[in-house]
Amino acid sequence: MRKIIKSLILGQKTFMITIALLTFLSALTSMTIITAYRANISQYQSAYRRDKLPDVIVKVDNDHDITASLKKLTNVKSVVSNAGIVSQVMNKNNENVALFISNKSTNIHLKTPDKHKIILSSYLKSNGAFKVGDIFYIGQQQLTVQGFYDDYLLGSPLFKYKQGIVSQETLQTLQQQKGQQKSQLAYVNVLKMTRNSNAVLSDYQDRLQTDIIYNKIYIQKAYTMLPTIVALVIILAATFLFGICLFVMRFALLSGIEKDRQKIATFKTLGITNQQVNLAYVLSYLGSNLVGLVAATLVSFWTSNLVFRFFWQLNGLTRAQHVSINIAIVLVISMIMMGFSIAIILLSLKPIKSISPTAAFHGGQSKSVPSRSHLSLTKSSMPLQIVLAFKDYRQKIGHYMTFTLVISLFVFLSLMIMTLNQGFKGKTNDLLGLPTVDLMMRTPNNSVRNEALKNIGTVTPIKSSGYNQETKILLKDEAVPVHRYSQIPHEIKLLAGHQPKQPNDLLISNSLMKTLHLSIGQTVRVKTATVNNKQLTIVGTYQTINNLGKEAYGLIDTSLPITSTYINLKNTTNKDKLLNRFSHGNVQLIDTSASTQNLTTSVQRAVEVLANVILLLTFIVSGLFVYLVSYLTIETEKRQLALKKMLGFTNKELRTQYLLRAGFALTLGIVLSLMLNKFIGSTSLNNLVSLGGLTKLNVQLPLSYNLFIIALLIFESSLIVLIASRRITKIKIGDFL
Amino acid sequence: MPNNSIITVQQLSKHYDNHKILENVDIDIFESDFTVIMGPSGAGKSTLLQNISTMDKPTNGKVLFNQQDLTQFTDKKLSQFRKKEIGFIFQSFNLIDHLSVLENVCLPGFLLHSKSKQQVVKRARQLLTSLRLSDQIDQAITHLSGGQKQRVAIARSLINQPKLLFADEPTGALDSTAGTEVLDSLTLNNQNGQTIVMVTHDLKAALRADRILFIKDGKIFGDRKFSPYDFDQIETRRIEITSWLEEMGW
Repeated sequence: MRKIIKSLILGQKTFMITIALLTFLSALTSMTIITAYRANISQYQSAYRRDKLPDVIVKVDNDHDITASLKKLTNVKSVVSNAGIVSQVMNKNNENVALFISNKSTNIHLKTPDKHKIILSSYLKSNGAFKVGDIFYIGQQQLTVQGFYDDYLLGSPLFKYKQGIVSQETLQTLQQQKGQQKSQLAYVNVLKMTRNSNAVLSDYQDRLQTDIIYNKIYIQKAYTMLPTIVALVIILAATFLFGICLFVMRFALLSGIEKDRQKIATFKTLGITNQQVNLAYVLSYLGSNLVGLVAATLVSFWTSNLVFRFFWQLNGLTRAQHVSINIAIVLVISMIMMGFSIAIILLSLKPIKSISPTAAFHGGQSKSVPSRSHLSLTKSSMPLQIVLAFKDYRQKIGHYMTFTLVISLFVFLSLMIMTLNQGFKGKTNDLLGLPTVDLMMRTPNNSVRNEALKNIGTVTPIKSSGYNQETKILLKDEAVPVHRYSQIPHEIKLLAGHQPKQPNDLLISNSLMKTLHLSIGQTVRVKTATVNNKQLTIVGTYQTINNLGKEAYGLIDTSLPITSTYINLKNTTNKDKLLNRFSHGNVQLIDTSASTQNLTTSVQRAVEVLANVILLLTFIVSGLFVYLVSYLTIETEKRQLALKKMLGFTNKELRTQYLLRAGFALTLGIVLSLMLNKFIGSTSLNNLVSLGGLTKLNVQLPLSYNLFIIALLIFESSLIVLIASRRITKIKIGDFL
Repeated sequence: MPNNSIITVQQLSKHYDNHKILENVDIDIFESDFTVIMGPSGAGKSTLLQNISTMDKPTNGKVLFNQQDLTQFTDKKLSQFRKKEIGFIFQSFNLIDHLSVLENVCLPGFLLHSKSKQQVVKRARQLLTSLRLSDQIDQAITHLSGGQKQRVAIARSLINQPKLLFADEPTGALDSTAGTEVLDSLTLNNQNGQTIVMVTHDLKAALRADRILFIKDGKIFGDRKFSPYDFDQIETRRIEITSWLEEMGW
């Protein structure tokens, strides 16, 4: 058996190495990402348990202690309240950061900060907003950054407010300043956890007055969303890579069998069975797979930790623990890969059965199927080179189709990655469900609001403004936030029905629709902030920007004062001046774009780096594969090329014909990839981001990007095919005739 | 008067690694001769044919054609020489399987560009008809018998009316009848003035020669002229050639 393997496989060393390499890369990527991703979830959950973080957080913007009212609820086990202030602060780079400042951070045991010093969430360090020793002001009070801590509760880049811890004395000083927004967080542990954040406190009467209620499922999702997106993109690339590996395997096997026909026929005349020949191939190819898998397993010990640290940082956390390799993951990935490999190998070995021992006497030549092309050499008016190239292409369509499919996969993958990258550029706010307005203004009533708007307009012209009156309704025991916008944002994508037109109309998110088993046209009875029993009709459903949104739009509670106003400025250069001048007293201006800018930047940067790495990898692997396919195609065509040389074709003519054939395959591959991208590209991408916790990515890759990717791969492939075609000049007629 | 030399081989040697296949071979191939190269297996017959027909490059020595050394030709000049001056017939036919009979024959004609497409196709049809292949013109190569394939190969080698025709065991893969048909075609071409150089170990094929080169251990061991082939004198010829070949150690 060893001799058979040696004899059959020795000539295919390059392919064996390539298969091992591709298996290694795809297995390493999969093992690393899955291990790091799982570690991210499990370590986060452990940290959450270790710090005894609450099941539910309730935030209210007042200074009345809500502990007593929460404790009375049936599902509540314990409550700890944390009073503080919410403030917009400016760092040294004039960037605004929204902070919730208090003197305790749940159960984390931090050394009490010194007077007028603050310990911040570590995300603010990793995104470069602050460093130790930085000074900033809250009102007139100067605070110095004393250190950072990993905040597993509100430290995720996805949360609007980051926590800052000060001493009791400092907090009191801050609270006593005029115009500070007093807030409190209540950390609640419940008896029974449910998936609906609001339903866990279903008998909480003041739910309609709370600002936010997060449960731990929501919080944990926020901490795992970004790594999930990143992991899915990489897993997609790894799957492509393994797909390529399977292609290489099939291609190598088919070409190898064709090349070794005579040898195989000779073995058969000597009494060696089909099974024995098959086994020789299976063993050698699986051997290559195994080498790749073992190497990947070993290297993944190191890379898993590396990627886990990257994921941890995406979460705004720094203290990553060591990640051990997960044997189950390794085994599952190995088994999946081996299973596919075995299937492909067995499928590709079918031609062995049809090799008759008589082939040994006929120089091993396979019975070539005559071209079914109607393009005749004697009748066509096209140049001889093109007609011949086309006929040869048709004859070796199996080889060239592999080339075509691989090119199309590479282009498709590149286009998807570029689209994803483009999707995150400038769209991160949308994707993450963050507002895209310059300033949010909170005011207690309409007269203060109107006055403030007028004042702001005198400093910087306002491009547009509107209101977003947020209220809540109690619908089927669930407190649902309801927005009443002066104009419903264009990002809202209606799935069915229409937008609210009447005071009793309600447009609800698709996730809420599913959770509460509602339907369009259905009439529901609700409690609002102003009316105890109101009848509303569900008139439509919309796609939420992220899966976390269980909200609605309606025209209810119009008597309530407009408390939230969104402002878009004509010129944003004076934004900081506005914040300093007008954000005090009854008016609170929040620079929403600045508070999310760092998050946006970090997400974009992560996706961009990732996209570039994958693109580079795609570029390298595609180049390698194109070379291999070219090399082997020339190898299998050597006899025919020698024959053509004998007939008087020059090397240049033969190379031109080969380039034309590769050109056909390349063109077909690009057309195929464009079709794939058009018909399944955006669906796949949307499914991908949806799996990552997002539901929207309405982005079209600009034509220039499409052209860039295609031009790049055409250039690369042409160059490599041109280099590979130099082998044609080395073919000696005498060796083959 | 001997004919003019069409190919002159000077001090031709061919080595594979350290193994010497041909060693300092000097021969002339004369115009309109039917030269047969014979010798024991492994003597270097096919290697010699390949080296003088530019299918391979000698390790040392010269192959002169019209006073020009073919071993020094560039790729372009070599392909021009192959297209225009020579035809080649092989034991294993070496036809292009995915082209039809007519396309196979026309291909070298199209490549030479000396005639229009229609002229090439017309000549190819004439050649195929003369070789009794008119019914197979549009057939795929894979549907032909061995004898038919070899006749297609002959038609292909003649399409550009080359001065020289090289044949390497052209009857080796054929039965007796098909072999005779092929040899008849070659003889006819030779009688029409074409120079033929053929490697064979088949006595029947050797009978067609008017000159036999006997090669042994990479060297020309014997070189003898015979009278031109005449079917009526076949038995006398067989005895003459056989006895000479036996002298050579055949």
